[in-house]
Amino acid sequence: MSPNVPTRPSLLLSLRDLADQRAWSDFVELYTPLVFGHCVRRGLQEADAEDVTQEVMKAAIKAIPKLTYDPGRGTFRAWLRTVTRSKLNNFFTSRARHPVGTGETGTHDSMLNLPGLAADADAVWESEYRQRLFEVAAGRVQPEFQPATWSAFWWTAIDNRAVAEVAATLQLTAGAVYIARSRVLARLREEVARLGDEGEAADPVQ
Amino acid sequence: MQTMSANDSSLPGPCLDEFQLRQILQSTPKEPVTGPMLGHLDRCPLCAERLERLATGGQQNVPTSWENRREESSTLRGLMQRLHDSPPTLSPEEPDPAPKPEDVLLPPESPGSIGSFAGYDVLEKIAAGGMGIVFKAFDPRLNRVVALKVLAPVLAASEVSRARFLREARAAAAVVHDFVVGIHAVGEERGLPYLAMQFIAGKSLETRLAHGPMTLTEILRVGWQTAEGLAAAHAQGLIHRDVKPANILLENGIERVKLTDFGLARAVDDPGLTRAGVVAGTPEFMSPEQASGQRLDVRSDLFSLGAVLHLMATGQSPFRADSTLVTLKRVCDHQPPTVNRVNLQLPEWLGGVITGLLAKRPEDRFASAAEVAGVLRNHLQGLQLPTDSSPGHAPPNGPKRPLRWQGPALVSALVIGSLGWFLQTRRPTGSAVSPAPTGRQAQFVRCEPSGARTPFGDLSAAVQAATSGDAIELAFDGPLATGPIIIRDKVLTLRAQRERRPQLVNGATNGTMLSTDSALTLEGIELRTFDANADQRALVRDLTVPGSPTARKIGDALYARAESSQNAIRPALVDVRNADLTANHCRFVNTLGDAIPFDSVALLQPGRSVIQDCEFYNLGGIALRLRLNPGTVPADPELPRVTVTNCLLYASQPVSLFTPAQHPLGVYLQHCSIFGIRLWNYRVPPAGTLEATDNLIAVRHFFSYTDAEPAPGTILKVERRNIFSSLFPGDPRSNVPRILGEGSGAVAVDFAGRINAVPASQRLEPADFRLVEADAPAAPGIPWEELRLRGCATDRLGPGGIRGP
Repeated sequence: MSPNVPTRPSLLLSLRDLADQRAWSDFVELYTPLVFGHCVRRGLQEADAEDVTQEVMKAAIKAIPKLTYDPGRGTFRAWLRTVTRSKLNNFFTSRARHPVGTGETGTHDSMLNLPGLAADADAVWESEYRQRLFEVAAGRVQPEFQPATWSAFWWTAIDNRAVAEVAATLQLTAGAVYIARSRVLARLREEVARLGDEGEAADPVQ
Repeated sequence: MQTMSANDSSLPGPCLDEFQLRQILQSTPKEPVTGPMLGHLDRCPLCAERLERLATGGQQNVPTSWENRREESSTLRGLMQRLHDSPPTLSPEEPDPAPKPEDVLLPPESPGSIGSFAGYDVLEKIAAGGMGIVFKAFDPRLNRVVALKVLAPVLAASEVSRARFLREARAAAAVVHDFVVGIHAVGEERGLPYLAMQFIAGKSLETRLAHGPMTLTEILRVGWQTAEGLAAAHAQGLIHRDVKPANILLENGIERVKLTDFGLARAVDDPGLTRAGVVAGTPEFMSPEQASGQRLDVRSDLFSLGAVLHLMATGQSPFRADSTLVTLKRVCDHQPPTVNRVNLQLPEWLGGVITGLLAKRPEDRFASAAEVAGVLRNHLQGLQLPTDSSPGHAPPNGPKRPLRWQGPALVSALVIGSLGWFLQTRRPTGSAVSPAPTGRQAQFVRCEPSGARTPFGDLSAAVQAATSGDAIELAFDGPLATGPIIIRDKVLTLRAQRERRPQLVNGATNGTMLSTDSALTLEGIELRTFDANADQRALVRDLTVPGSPTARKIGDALYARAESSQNAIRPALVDVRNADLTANHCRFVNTLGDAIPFDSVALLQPGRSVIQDCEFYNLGGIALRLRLNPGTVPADPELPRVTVTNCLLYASQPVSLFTPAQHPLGVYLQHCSIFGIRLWNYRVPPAGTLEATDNLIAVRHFFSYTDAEPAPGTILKVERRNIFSSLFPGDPRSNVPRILGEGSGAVAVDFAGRINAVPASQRLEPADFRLVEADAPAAPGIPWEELRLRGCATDRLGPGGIRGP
């Protein structure tokens, strides 16, 4: 269970201290599925996706010590996407050179170059990131709350059930459900802000 | 902050204020809220909403649905577990192990040598890096000293690297240029590919930079010569891929640049060979497209050149960072300051040029290395002129007279000045235009029907003297600057004298070369745009009209197309109005690219024009531009009629029609080879007949129209013996024949009388395309389908149409 510290350094900044095992875990939880999922959507088999993901994560960990806080610059996830794309390109290039099976050469190239697809991929990447961010944050926050509090939040905010119905099920008053939900939301927001990369850029201070 | 419900007496207690709400949120989460506040919240939806807004900060960064949750695959779970357990350790990036001489050399065979390799006596090691090792060596067979570059054994172990090294080295050997290191030999010895090249006594730009800052003259000279060297390679279709100071050698004494290592970066660009996180090449001089692994063209080298120039100008590499990956990111994202802000002694235009090279998008950069070379050379020449330069010379932006551009007017003045300078000082080269004839030799002969022959020194005079019905013979070989020539009310023939191969080069630079309002016959003549000199092209483009809709910004400088207003008359090599053109065995060449729109042959209101056995090369413009005046209805419904037979049309737009609707027009293409983007391009709805028979057609769009569909009654005939192919295999936009837009069905596309239209529901394969025997015109309302043809024969390409059956 995580201690509840009101203000914490952001995940990416904590990562600069490489001994911070918890930060590392958060990082892995948050970004690995993002990269992996992207690779799979690009048509990679899981074993290949695993290899590419591992390469991307290696590249990321090298860049982390040079992170700086600068909201004006691109986000870390955008940078990570660029690295992922580059590694995928390498993968496809090498695959085209050493064809496996009957893969039609040029297919991937042309797919990568279709502007429509690229824009879609950007949107998917972004929504996957949001989704994953929430998943990890929820996973971190849930243990801090009583099961009933969590349920009050989950059922009303996520499952969209009526407050009155949830209150009845949990044998709480409506006000208590509101309070539970808001408390979880506030805590989630804090956690999302910590885990998220708004304002973090992979640009070193010269 | 009380709310409006505060006075609602039905609620237990007053509405909560913000302090109370915050207290609820921030108290230890497990502590239950009781008492009046809870009672109020039970009943007051407004307070509940305020509480929630406070909790979320009004942001919607928490998803409210959970539908997309995926099962994590076992592979992913395993991967995450492994990453959890053992975070990758950070190790400083160690350089690639450099091979040692003893790894590649055999024992020496002669005194003074440190070893031998492939028959060369190796004298000393010059350098060694991740890619290979460079020796100074003596070639006893040719008795000369060479530089010997041997691929590192670790790379040579890879089939791919070996093959690439050899291929790139052989390609580079084809580049012969003053500013490029010549390659003497390429070979393989004991499984190690090597190349023997000119030994350059001198140092690299990298070494030079270590010795202190460079002067503006030095920067310009190195930049110009490097750009020239790149242009020579680009002309061979070769991309350098690793332009960096270490690959720019400076010969001792004469300070001449020698560019080396063309394309060799490719040899190590193999993911199997490079370590994770390491990208082949030199990151700080890479282009964004290179850094992100995209496809490259020659403009990638221009970016790298920009980075090198930036380094020369400021002493700082613009994207350098501590790690490769961060450098790559900076290449893609970071906008370095213009050099004249870093080094205040530098002129602003240099900043503009470098910024123009360092544009992130290739299309925002200069178009070619030759163009950059021209710009740099002009500035260099400007610096070297005496300070009291005569009028018409570009005022030098030298250190003595720092000049700031004040605005567009001054810019134009400068640029026009340099054009004048350019035209004066341009030295003829092998393929350049010969000077106007000064001797007695007659270049043009007026031939009257009576048999009288009168010699003339230039074409204008001959045309001036000629009367309708005369012919003018061109009695010279090779290029001659001519024009602009304007023919009024004279039916003339221009023809090559027997056995002569005359070329008329457009002296009007960027205007129409030859225009007439009477019937014209051309025989055996080549007509070209002004010599394909990119300097000149750049200057033409520099003649800017500020505020023009086609102005283009490169860096801080404004460029515009010279004449591209939509209503302006587009220039052409030959412009014939209200009359017929007959052309036999002619060649029309536009080498201006897309710098300015320039067409080969423009016909306004053509009668019965015949073009036979001609070749059109026009990348950037239109080979045959046909225009009809609105409102005219010719007496003969067969006219106007343009027949193109046995021709090669290699043009961005082989045929373009600017016609009003409801106007008959016949264009007949027979036995032609046609390559281009849009075969028939309409500005307004065309009418009439377009027929293609026995052609080889390789285009992106079979036909396309800008504003509207073909008018009802239009007959577009595509006879069955046309062979369609794609110039752009793999290009998703390339579907041939391709019909853009949705047809109304009123148009019959007559494929040999068999297929008139293909309904969208029916997908045809090439075999179907030939076999279907439907004879019905398209029913109205059936949307057009893009026909996809694959596997068409392309082996019978060639000028003059299709060969064989």
